Amino acid sequence: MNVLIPFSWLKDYVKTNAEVRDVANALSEHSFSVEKIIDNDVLEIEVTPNRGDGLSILGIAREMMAILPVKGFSVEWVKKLFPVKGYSGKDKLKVKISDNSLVPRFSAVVINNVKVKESPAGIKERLSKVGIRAINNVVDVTNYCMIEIGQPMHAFDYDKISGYEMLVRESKKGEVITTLDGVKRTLPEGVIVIEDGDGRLIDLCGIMGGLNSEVDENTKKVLLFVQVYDPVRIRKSSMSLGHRTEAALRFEKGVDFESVIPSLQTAAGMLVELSGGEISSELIDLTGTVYTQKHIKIDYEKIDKVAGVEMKKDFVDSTLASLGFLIKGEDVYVPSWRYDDIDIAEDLAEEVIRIYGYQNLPNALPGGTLPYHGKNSNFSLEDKAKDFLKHTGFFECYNYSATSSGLSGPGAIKIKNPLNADLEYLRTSLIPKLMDILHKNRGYSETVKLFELAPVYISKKSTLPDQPFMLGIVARGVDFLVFKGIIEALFEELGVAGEFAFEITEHPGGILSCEIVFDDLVNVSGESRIYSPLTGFNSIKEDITIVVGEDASFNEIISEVKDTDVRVNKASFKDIYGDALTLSIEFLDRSKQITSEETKNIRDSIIKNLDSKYGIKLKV
Amino acid sequence: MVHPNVLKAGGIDLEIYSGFAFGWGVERVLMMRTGLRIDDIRLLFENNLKFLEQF
Repeated sequence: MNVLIPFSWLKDYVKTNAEVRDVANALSEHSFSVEKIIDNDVLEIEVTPNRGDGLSILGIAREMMAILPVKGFSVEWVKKLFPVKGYSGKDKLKVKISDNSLVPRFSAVVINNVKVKESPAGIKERLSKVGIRAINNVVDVTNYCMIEIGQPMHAFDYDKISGYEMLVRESKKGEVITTLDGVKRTLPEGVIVIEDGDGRLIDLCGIMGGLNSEVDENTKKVLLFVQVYDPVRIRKSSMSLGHRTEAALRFEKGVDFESVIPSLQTAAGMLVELSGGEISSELIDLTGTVYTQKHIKIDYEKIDKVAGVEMKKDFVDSTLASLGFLIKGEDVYVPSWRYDDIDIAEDLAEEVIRIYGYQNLPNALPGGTLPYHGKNSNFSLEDKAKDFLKHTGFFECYNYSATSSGLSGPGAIKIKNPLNADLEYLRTSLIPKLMDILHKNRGYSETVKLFELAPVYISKKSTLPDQPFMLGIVARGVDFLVFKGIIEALFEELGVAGEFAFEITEHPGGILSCEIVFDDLVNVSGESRIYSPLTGFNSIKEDITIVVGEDASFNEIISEVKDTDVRVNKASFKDIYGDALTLSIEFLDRSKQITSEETKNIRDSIIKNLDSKYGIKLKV
Repeated sequence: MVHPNVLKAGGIDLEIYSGFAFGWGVERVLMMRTGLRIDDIRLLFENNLKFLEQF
């Protein structure tokens, strides 16, 4: 998640001789990537999801305390806690929490005699720098504190809460709330909400306040409200409602349990100062969960092992201390703001090593012998096929696995949440898209030849789809027999033994296509060749021309010819004219010199077989 | 470094093994290759022959 952190605001917390660019570099090297610096002041920082503590001025200031000294800069913590005179008063709030796991900590205070008006220029300027719209002094304080301390909070108009009663509970499916942005939302079950004494929903907890309890220019009493919520529930609710707010983004990553009261104190103090009010209630602080500080056993050897280089004990100890960890004997106590992030010894190692600096670790390749990998024969066959097609003038295409409905092929799986309509279905064939590419490139040349070798997705009942690799080939302006010849030559190149059945589809406009299950081709391919010793005896070559119809395929005819006699060494296509097919036949006897009388006999057998099996006769 | 939980889930003994992992997008690396300065990643998937013929 990206946050905007003004360097000028950071200086409320940390005094340093580093400049904004130095801070940006230091953070990028040891903490979070600083994407850019805006107006020479505002750092745009990409905070990783495990570091919810980095989403505030306070969080970044803490990082600076640890990393700037490493870079040779001076740092001093200068921020003091906001003082509050005391919490007392007659205003009360009746709170009931239905389930403590929803709200580990619930705190609130009432402030009376508030004058709602515009915030001072300084506050508005800071909010504007971080991209938050200023509304009024009350709302602005809650946003200001959220950005500064990382604790989201809310302000209710106290008098709009019926009966001054709050029930924190899970929503039931179908309940409705209109949030501050004016949007009426229908809730699923399980969202954390607050119901007031009249049974109205007044807050969509952790995400956005309700419109019916909002602070407006007539508000006299403010209920300042600071919570910690169950992160999982907040994320689920926020995602399912499609409402991602700055508050929700922070709650879902985990908020510091121990910062609740200091945050409330700061916000209350600021509110009193800016709105002229006074605290009119006791401090309400309900802790549903007992928070105990985490501790991990320190393992110096492990840290060395993870780093691959020795981290001196003094360095480890002082680094952890600078980050807020407390070392007591063999145990390291995790600061409350890192509660969700630090669990195991490796997490401590990461803290130490990142401050040491990954760029300072020595460059060394792992030692030992390289592991042996057997050759993956599929890859080499894929390469061979692709090279062959390239050398015969085909262009390789890479298309997306997801297509629009028209280009997916039949029976395609529909994607539930596609990026857009062009990527809605998982293709079951490569051909439609290849044809589309062919069409898009029609201006390129008379002859366009394309192929793609990639998976398709065949739906299966009650299990994951099959994902066979297909070889899709399309061409325009290529003669049928040439196209066929290329595919057969490809088979030869791959060492395919025997026949491999394939089909060529003719499309209007002189377009040809063919799609082969590449995995099937792999199964019959062989890299090894079989050698037949040459004989001294000569072969006899002859042509025969036969009349063909629809009764037999070319492959069947050739098979029949070859099967007639073992001395039929070769039989191949020579010419076709109308229905007259001319075959070239080579006769060879390896044991002796074959005679023309013997070849005549074989030829007669061939013609007899073709006639009896397929009704094919010699052309007269 | 690979998180110990990931290794554990893969049935790998943490006492003996640790792991590291990294990755980069094949397309982006190609775009940066010396001599090429492909300016739009979508070109790699458009299959425009005027683009493909250069390779």
